Amino acid sequence: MQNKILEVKNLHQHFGSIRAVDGISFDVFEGETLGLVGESGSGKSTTGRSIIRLYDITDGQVLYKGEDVHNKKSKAEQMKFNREMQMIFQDPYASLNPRMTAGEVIAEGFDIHGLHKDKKKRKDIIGKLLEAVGLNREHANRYAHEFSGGQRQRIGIARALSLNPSFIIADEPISALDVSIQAQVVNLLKELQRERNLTFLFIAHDLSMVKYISDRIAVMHHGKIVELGTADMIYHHPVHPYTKSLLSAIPLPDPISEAKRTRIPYVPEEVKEEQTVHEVIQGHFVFGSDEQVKRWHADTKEGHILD
Amino acid sequence: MAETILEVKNLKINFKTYAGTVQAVRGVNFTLEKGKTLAIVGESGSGKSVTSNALMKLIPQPPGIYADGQILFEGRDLVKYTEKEMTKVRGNEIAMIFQDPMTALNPTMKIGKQIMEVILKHKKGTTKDMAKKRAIELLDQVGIPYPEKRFGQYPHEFSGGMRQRVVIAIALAADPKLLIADEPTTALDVTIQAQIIELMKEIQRNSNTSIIFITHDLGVVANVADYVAVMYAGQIVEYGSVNEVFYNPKHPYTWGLLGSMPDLENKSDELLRTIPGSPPDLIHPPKGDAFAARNEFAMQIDYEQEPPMFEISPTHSAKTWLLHPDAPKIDVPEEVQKRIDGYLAKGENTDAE
Repeated sequence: MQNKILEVKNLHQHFGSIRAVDGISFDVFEGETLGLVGESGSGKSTTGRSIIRLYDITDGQVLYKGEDVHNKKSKAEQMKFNREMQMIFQDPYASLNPRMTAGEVIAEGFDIHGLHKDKKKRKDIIGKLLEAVGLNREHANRYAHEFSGGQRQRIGIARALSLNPSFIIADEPISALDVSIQAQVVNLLKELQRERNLTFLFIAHDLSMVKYISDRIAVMHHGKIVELGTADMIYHHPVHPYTKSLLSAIPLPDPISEAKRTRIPYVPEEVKEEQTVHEVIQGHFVFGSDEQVKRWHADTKEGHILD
Repeated sequence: MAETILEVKNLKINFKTYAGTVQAVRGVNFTLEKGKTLAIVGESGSGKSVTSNALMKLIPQPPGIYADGQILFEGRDLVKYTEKEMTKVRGNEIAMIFQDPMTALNPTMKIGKQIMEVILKHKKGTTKDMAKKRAIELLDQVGIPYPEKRFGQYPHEFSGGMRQRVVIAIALAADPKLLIADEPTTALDVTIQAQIIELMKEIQRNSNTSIIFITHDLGVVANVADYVAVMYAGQIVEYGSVNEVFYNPKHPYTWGLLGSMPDLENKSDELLRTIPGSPPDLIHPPKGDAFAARNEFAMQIDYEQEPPMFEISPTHSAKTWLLHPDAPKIDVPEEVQKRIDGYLAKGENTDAE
């Protein structure tokens, strides 16, 4: 039985009249990577930011290791949570303070949490973190502008690792990088996950990269999770028409198939009945009315499966 | 042989900076046939955007310098054109679509007026009424619903995809012969990207426009291109038809690019193939092959002498010493070849159905 490290229950995040996240529920298991995909405005980044408490949520519950994240009792408990869960941001240019050296960026958390006060020991730990992300010890004294985009993202990763977290939210960590550098960073994340038994929530719009890095995938659309399942279920047996449309739009480096490709447009259906989450097969969840899900599932079984 | 619309010969662009002279484009050669699409792929700093801006003479001088070469557009050398002569070419014969539709549009001007401006400037003898009619037609042609109503709206009233359609409408306003699109879909969501690409292909089918498509996304290239130029460190390192470059790649950098992109069949326990290191400093370009330091197959000669373009077929060539008859035989890396075989097998299967 897999261990639930994070439970999101009926999460709502509204900004005025905008329902950015509109009642979503999912679990993340220890040691896995859950990919959260969707287009701009789908609410995927808001979900990540709500979980790590960058926002106070409108409604619902986020449980980390069984404890409510948004109802922390004391400062000490909040600090403990902050050490456990860390975030990697999209833009490696905006997320590093230009007036701090790489070493200072990485060590900022040590000051806040009162760790590694011994100077020599601290220097050693910073050096080890830099090496863990494929940089070297000498880089500690350099400023952000002296690094390339890929190297900056490595510093962002080292910072996220500095407090020895168990759970990392990576919000589009590779979108701003070149293709060959993306592969380097993704490989690094995978290796770190294996070595440190990390759990990842990987937020992205690049579906082929999400498929590659994720064990399970949740597809978001208009503030709702429309489909959730293993990477294989989502890519080879999608049920929700929005997922099918999204998959049909991924361009592949294969000219013959691209020439024949037909894209499936997504046309939302008018529904009167209540829409809820259905488990079509074990571990594969689809959002819709009873009638919709039954019909979509039948369509998928008949072999309308994307290869 | 199709008619050639553009021929670029040995184009070299430098930029003077305090740190020294950056050799951003270092001798680029290509030709484009009428009605065809050439995709230029490369990473940041490869010179792909400088090349496309150079074709439009959009390089600010100083600091930019056209150090050498010719840009022959229908036989006329644009490098020699004065700024005044260029204004007749720009937007009229060659039009450009930029990456970010929000910065390409004037936020304080209604979009209809922005389209009319181009028509009135480039089509002599057009009245305002005619221009308005044409602008509405163009909005309709690029797939904007309710064009009459949309004509009087400001850019902020449009979504990202719709804005990019407006930018395309402006680019088409003067019926250009050549369209240069610099990462036109990078800022858009995948489903919107698919629509914009379809639109550009449709325009090409209808008006036989030639297109230069700059992108870093190999999936997009496979979809849009007839020919592909792979750029690295200011040079074209591989050039060929889209099938040649994707199914029979010859340059190790192309192998690296193809390998670093996961496809949907990648097992998640395999690591992706990466290109180690980062691109060279173009103030002091390395001696020999600029890719040598990142090339696992580099030989002694790669550090000493720059390779020429070796011809593989009349349309396919690559700039690597590995193609020299005396070079050891190096095959396409296994994981890249496996993937190509998979694509080709799939292609045959669907043909048989």
